[in-house]
Amino acid sequence: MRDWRRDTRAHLAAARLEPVREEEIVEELAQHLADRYETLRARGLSDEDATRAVLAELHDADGLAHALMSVEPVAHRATVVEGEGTRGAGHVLGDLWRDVRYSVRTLRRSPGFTATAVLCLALGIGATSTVFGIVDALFFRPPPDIGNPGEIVRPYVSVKSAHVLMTGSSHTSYPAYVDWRDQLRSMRGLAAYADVSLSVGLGAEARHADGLLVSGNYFPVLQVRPALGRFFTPEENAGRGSPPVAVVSYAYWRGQLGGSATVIGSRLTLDGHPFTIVGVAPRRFHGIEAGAPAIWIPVSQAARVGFPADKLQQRQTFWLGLVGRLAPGVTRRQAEAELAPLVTRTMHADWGADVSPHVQLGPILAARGPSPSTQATIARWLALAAAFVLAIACANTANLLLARAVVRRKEIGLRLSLGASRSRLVRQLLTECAVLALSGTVLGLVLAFWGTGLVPAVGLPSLSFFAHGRVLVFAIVTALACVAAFGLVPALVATRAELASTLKEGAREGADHRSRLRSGLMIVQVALATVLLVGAGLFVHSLRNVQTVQPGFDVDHLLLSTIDLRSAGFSDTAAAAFYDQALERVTRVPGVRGATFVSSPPLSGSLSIVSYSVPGGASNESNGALDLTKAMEGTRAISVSVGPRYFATVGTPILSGRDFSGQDRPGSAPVVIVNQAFAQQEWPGASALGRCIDIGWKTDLTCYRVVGVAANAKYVNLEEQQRSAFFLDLAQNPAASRSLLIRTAGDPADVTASVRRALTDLEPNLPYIHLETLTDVLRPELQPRRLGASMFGAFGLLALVLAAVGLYGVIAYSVERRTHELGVRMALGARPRDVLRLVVRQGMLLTLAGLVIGIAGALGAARLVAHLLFGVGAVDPLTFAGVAILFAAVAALASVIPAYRATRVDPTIALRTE
Amino acid sequence: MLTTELKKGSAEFLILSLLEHEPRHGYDLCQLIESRSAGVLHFHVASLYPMLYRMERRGWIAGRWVEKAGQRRRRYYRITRDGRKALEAQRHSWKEFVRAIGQIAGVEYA
Repeated sequence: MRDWRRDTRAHLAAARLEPVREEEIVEELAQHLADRYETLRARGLSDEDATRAVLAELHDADGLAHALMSVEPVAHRATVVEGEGTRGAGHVLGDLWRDVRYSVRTLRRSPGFTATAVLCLALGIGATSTVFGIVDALFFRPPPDIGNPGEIVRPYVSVKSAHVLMTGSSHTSYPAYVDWRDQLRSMRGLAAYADVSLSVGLGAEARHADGLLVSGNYFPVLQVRPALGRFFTPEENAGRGSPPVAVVSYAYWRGQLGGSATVIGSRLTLDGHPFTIVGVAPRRFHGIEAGAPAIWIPVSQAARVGFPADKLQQRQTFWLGLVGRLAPGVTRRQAEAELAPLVTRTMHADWGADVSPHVQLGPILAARGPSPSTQATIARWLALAAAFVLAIACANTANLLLARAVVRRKEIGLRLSLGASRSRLVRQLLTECAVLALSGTVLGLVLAFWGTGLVPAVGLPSLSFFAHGRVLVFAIVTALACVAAFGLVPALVATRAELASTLKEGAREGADHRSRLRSGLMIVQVALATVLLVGAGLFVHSLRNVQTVQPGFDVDHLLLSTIDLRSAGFSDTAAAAFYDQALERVTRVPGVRGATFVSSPPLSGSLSIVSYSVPGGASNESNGALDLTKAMEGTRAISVSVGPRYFATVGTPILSGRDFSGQDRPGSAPVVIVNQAFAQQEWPGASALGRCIDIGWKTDLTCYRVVGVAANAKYVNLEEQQRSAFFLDLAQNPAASRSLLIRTAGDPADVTASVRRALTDLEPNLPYIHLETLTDVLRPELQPRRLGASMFGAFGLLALVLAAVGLYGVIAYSVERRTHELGVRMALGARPRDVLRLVVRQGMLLTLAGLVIGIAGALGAARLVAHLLFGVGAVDPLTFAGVAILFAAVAALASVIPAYRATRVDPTIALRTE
Repeated sequence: MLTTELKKGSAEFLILSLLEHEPRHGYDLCQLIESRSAGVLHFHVASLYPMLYRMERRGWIAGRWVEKAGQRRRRYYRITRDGRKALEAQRHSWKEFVRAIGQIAGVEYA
């Protein structure tokens, strides 16, 4: 048959129409001519006559081109082919703009696809950006307002010997610090600092503030410039007699002190002592740790703010953090080599330990040093988890784009046949991806902003999101990387389309490689999501285990109150008198069931561990030579001095024997109550009552008789193994510091205000009274776990949803593609049930493959996080099985919906789609 | 000039009338006009299609490629809401015109 297109095209040449539009007109007119030819033939004309008549009609239409020119170009709303650029060079920008506009139009035409793709990307980018905010603060962004942070180093000391085990400790004593500071040549300066809790003001006006004790060279070493006034002079750090001065933070200055310049030289009452404000730190400066101190004071003032008078002379307490600045041209290695012998000497002189410690200098960001916090470790894993979510989101989008590429292959084929270059088309498709990615980024950042608010406060200095453009830059770079990753392959696949086959409607061949690629992407998604879900399961499980630990006392109804009377200038007798009255007053507050004292409250991180010996006890049974290891570890136990009715107040039962009573007073026979773990360790299988424990210094040992055995409890943290502990009577052993423990009937937070009022009524000149519920005391301990559990949980669910959407898409697309086949099956007698099974089976096979790979991966990964888990093994069968079942159920649901649709296929329609 | 305009106007009127109840493709329109006018009216490719495109641009009709089982794809045109308004207006003025002619003719030949 004649090619009417060629004839038509020849007549249109004069009109110089837009190529795509011309092609369309040619098709329509050629169709008309072909119809005319058929009609004429049907009327009995010969082929030759009919052709001649039709051509005559066309020739007759000499005015065709002219007539069209007066009408065209026409903006056709329904045309499929658009956006073809002008052929020829030099229109790159114009092409780009055209591409963008065309992409936006194309995407708006398929809202379902666009919404799904943008949402997938937004979730991926939102998740990674949220975590990037955390990771950036921990690992990449040096603390603000510090000069040349690259030169800053943090020393870490590790000792591993039979007697001492110290891993990456970054703390030391004051004499050791001074020693190292004065001898180190490889450092321009070595500074020391220690946290201090301050009470500002007195009586009802007293407030709490976080402070930092710092060595005189702290600010110069960090190269900080004051916002106002100055920092400390050498005389201000000369010793105990130095003038008491303080530097306040910018936020404290603005928020609490009025923000006026006259603050310099004014007085501040800290722990009852007057301090002169000499300077204000720069606005964002908070030192090198995560916290944000409000007040800095010279370390020489330690005794005025609650530290023991001889704290600076003590050689055996590691309480000062260190930070140094390398001298110009000195490497970390060289500085480590110089510091190591100094540390060795100190260890030998102060501890009598002949060890060779391993000294390392870490960077300013502790998270990147040799002993990162749990938080940092969890953040690392979160970053990986977020990357997984992003990968899943990208795979999902790539899948959607692949499916779309198949749907659009006719359009693409047509444009290729019209002479559009492949690179031009790829560019066009990539532009579409970029538009998707950009929309996803915007929505993702909104999600991240919202998500950051959901992240439980993790003790990071500033998680304020848009305070710095880094997250923004990160999100955009990630989005562009995604475009390259998920846009390129579908674009290449789409434009590879064979011209001949794609122009034919209903061509199903040639799609197999794409569907294999899609299945592959799907399996990867399921596998990654499985790993995340297993992670989520393990972390959630751990959190629940920690939360359900029995601490051994009634956490929910305890209020803890600490008052630093000694640094406020109370004499010991005055303090004792106050405490006695306070106990009585507090007990009368409505809602309070009882109160007692304790030298160091449980789980507050301030316990004393003392050595003891037990004549005839199990730990001394190794006769003969003194076992050094046992001397250092085996015969040390937690020692707590407690007030009257302590056990009844905190809710720890006495298992045998008695509580302390009024008869136990100074001068009467010394008594002790041990916990069950202590009794079992020292007198396994026998009664502990009446036994003797020697407590005290070697020269001055006193025999304490055991009068009771109390139930075990947690003392240092919730995750510890049972520790040995003994309790002394405060009446017989007055302790320097005391805390008030108050048992309440209801929520302890409800009585805080009335307890505070009762105490300030009693003594108007009290420093700040710390009042905390035990639940609050425990909160920081649970925080890294909460963070892990909530973030992994969120990411796991996200991954599950994304994978389910992806699976649904793959199955739905496959059902559509197989409509013909399914129609034939049903026409041949297949029941809906069979079709259902056929389709669901496909989805389940993909899921199963992904699950197997994912579980194998999770087995490997879980081992690596085992140290972060609590009470659950890395290979927890319950978690793994649960994830597999959950995933299988969701996958079944995701494939049943399109499968059900497949059963509704009307065979006659299905067969007519050809 | 007047005749050309009149012819063009009447042709558009015809096409709108034919599309009033169902969408049709170009050749279909051609055939219908020829058969219903018993061969009196005949449209050529050159006259029909530019007119369709013009009417489409004016928003009276909308074209769409449609594939039907067992056929090659064709461009079908349907009347739009604006097209229906135009059709009503033209019907009205044609009636007026015919009535006027009749009255005049009645006066002349009565």
